[in-house]
Amino acid sequence: MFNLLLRRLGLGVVTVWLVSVIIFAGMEVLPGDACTVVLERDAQGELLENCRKNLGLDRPPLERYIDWASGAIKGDFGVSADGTTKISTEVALRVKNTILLAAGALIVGVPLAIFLGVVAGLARDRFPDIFVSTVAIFAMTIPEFVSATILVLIFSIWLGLLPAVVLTPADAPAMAFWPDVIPVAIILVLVMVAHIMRMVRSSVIEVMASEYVQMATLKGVPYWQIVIRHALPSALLPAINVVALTVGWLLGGVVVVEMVFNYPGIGRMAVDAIKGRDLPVIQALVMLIAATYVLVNMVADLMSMLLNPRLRTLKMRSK
Amino acid sequence: MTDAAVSPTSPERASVLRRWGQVLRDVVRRPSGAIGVFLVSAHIILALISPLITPYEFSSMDSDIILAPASAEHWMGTDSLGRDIFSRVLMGGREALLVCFLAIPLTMIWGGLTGIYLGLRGGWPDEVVMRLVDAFLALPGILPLMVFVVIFGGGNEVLIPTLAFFFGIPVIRVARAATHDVVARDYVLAARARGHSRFSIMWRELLPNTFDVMMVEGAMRLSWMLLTFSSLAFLGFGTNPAIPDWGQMISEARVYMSLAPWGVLGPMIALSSLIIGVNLTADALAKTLGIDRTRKAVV
Amino acid sequence: MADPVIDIRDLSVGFTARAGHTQEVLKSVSISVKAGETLGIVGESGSGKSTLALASMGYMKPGLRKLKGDVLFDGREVFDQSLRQLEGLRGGKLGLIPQSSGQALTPTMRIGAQVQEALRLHCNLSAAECSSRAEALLNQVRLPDVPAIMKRFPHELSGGQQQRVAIAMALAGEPDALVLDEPTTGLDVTTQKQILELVQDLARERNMAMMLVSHDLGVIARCCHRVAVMYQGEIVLEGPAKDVLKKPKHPYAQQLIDAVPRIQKAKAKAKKSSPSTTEALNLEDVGICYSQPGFWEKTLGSNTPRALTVDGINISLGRGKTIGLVGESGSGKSTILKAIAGLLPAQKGKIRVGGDTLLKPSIDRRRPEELRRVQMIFQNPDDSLNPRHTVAEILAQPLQLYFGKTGRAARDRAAELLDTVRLTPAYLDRLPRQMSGGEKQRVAIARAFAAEPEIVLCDEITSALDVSVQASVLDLLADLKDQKQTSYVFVGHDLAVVQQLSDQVMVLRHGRVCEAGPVDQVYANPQSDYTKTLFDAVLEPGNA
Repeated sequence: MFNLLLRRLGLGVVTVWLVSVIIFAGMEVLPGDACTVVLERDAQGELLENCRKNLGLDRPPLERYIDWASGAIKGDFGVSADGTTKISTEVALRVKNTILLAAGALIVGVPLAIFLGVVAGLARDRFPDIFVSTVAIFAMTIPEFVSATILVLIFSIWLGLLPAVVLTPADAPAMAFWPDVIPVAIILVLVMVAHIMRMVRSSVIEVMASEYVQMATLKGVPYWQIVIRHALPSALLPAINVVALTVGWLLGGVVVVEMVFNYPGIGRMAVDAIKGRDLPVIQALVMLIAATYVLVNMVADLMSMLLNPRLRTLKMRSK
Repeated sequence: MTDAAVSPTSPERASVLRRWGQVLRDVVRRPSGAIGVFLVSAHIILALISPLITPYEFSSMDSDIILAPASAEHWMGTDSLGRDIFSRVLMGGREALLVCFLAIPLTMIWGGLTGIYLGLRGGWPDEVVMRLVDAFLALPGILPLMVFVVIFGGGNEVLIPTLAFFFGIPVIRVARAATHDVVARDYVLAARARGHSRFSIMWRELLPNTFDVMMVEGAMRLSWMLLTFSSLAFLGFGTNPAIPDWGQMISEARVYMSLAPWGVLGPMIALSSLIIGVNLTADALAKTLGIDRTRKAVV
Repeated sequence: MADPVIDIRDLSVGFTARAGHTQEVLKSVSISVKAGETLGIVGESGSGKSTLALASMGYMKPGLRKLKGDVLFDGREVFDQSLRQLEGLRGGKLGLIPQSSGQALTPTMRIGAQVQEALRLHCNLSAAECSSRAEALLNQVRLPDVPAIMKRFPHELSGGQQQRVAIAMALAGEPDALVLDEPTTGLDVTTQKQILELVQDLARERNMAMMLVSHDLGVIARCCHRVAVMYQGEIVLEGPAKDVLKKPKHPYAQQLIDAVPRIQKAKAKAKKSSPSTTEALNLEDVGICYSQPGFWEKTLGSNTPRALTVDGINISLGRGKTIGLVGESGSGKSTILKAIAGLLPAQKGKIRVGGDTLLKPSIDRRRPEELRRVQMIFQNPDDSLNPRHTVAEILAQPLQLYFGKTGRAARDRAAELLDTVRLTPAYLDRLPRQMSGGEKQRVAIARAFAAEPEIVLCDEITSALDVSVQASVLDLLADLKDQKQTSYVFVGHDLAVVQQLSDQVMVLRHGRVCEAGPVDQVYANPQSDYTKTLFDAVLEPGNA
């Protein structure tokens, strides 16, 4: 058991390291660097060489990677391409805003999704299930920018209830984002709930058809006790991993949603950086998002190992 | 359940084509499958014939009728440059369909074969590649694609291989897991015991028995790829800006949405109906083939 | 005594197969059990016996419904009772011991909690009383170290222990009747014997009525006062156990009982044992480790020597002869087969075929010609045939690989092979799912013989089949051996089946040889204590 946990931790570290290599190597292989971007058309001859010398871009890649990676571990991603802003300060502001958004979506979305999934699973193929499942298909397939547009059209333009875009600046305190954050979070919740709910539903259906639920019935256990004591613990275990994967999606999906609502989080910052070809900022953001993804999934794996009696008591011999 | 159900009176020639014909019939027999297949085929047909039936040239502007509401001449009204929205909606799906229908087979072939090979091979290549796959999966979805588009431009010759590459990575995982299920079966063990080559086992035992999973996976990936393609276009990372695209049209029309909401409606309905159609088809296909991919979740 | 506890009258159960068409699973079944009596219900798979057992508890699998008839418990119709009444009845006066407790115990609940739950539901007890009663119950089913077991999760117990826990739960409500649905399937023979003894003792103590469902006539004969034989949803024969098992008055029942292999006394078995001249297979001091080193261990070079799972195996098998490997699960008998086939490379020792050819341990390093000489048949024919290939394609594979036969030639040869396993050429174009279990196993046998092997490895090849099918498959194997002078290594857990086919036998326990020798000798006069226990535990319908 302990070995398993350790192995999982090790895997996480290896993955993060590989991510950093991929990101660095990717930026290295792709044509252009900070100097060609800043100098634009003047990027040639002596000017280019001087610029590279100033930024240390003429050093061998391995040396620069070590520099960058050791900085990144300490949370220092250097300065942006134009050399004016310290990346970590700006990123920290944006991270706070995105966390505000993601946390709000998770707090509302996860319990809602589990509740709907259990209801749909227990009422398999009857009205509540058909209704919830159909809505879920729509929610998870319609592109975020489409549902966001519909939301704005109805609630902002026609009913005038919600703000259409976020005008609060990035460095405003968390409270200032109320109520701007609501429509942004609604769109995230919609897709997230659909994914988690569908998984919980099929997990509940599978467990309710299991032999041990049949046995509990034939032991005379009342229905709701079967559901709560016998079925749900097994049915909800896999939900941990799905929630983690959804967080991963949240981090990627947030890009589009933040752009739609002009929300000053890391997603919008990333898109702006890409449009401006600000390579150091892109590197920093992609690294940050990827590391978070790895971390969240690792925590989910560790949690389900600890909660699942089969894994918790797994002896190493039975590997 | 009983042996009587498979009485030896039906000497049925097992043909792969016939089986998939039957699968298609079963898919269409489900309400969701019928709607899905109808939507997808309608979109494909419209995309093929749209240049012939558009009432106006999609790029012809008319400054007299900017942002005009729906009328007998312009069924969906006009946009901010006075172009006919209906004509542009008809043309707007062609690029997305073309790119995705070319990229999906590539995706499934490279991801599927890699995954099946690794699942059978095991050992150090498996270990190394899977770590790389884990790392690539951690990259936030759409951002690497944007980087490619910014650096190499958004032409189809860039977009198709890029989409196929990034979408193929999760497919490796799915194919590998499906292969592990099959490799554990005795018929693969029997083939190994007879001494068949790895290639022969892949071709004869693994491919036919992972094919169902791959088909469902391909259909799901197609819907996500369409979504990604239109999201890119929406964010301004699309293909040629001169060619109308639904994502791009929605993004342009949003600006004057309070004045002319019809500008977003057409492309939104077109795009959503296509993606929902693909999804419903995939869902019905999964149910028909008895593959529950929701358990394996979003990867 | 006169009133039956469970009384089923004219019960029909069915499901809607297609719109408007009802398929009956049970057809007008009438049966009853009295207090202190054990009724055995026997039948092959799909005969409806489990449906009948569950129906007696007022339960039906989803999709099934009662068409007509009554199920009375203590004189009251079960299906008319309210849900609350049923909940009181089930696990209370009417207990169930399920088929495989490994699946039937809730994996996320501790043993103690599950037993206490049963007590809490059916007896008015305080928490403390509950806990001590649970402990008493688990003691009663003869589990060791009960306080520790109560804290464990189901997967931490052995199959036999899980079954004992299920029995304890069934006893919690002090039942008047027990329904046992294949209670010992999947357990080793010695465990099976213990469990049946326990159940019988408890039934006697409490004067319970029991309804025991099983496909195993030996189990039925061991425990039951009365026996009912089911076939395709009907009870075809019912009566006192002695009458039904000794002189069945129904052709199907007769056939079923005759098909059960029985251990024969050595004298009765006059086998012409011509000493074989050439040696077909030789194993010299073979040792195998079940867990092969993984990638990380190989790379990091963990140098802790691995304990050999199986060790000290010596076999010398003549041409046209059979050696039977017997032992309980985990004894390593299948592992030896895999080592001979090369699927699990032996760590030490030598494997020779045809007297002189030394086989490399790993399959990757054996030459095709060497591979051809050793073929394997697997336990479960549902799993050993590629579901996407037709019989012709399945048989063509060894033909192409070893003899380069393709197209017409391969198809003709495949038809011949089908003929040798007594199937018509019509089967060539059939897919595995269009065949019965017995037919599939015949195809698997044909595939092995397509290679014209010298040695065929048989891994429990009849244990997934019904008894009547098993008999004909064994018959076929014996014929093929005589025709082709092939040698078999036959792994089985059924001692009678092994005896029927083998010339030599090897008894294994925990990966070591317990006893080995000619079949007649070992069966007539077992030397080791373990072999004796094993023979003791065998249940046969004749010994009722």
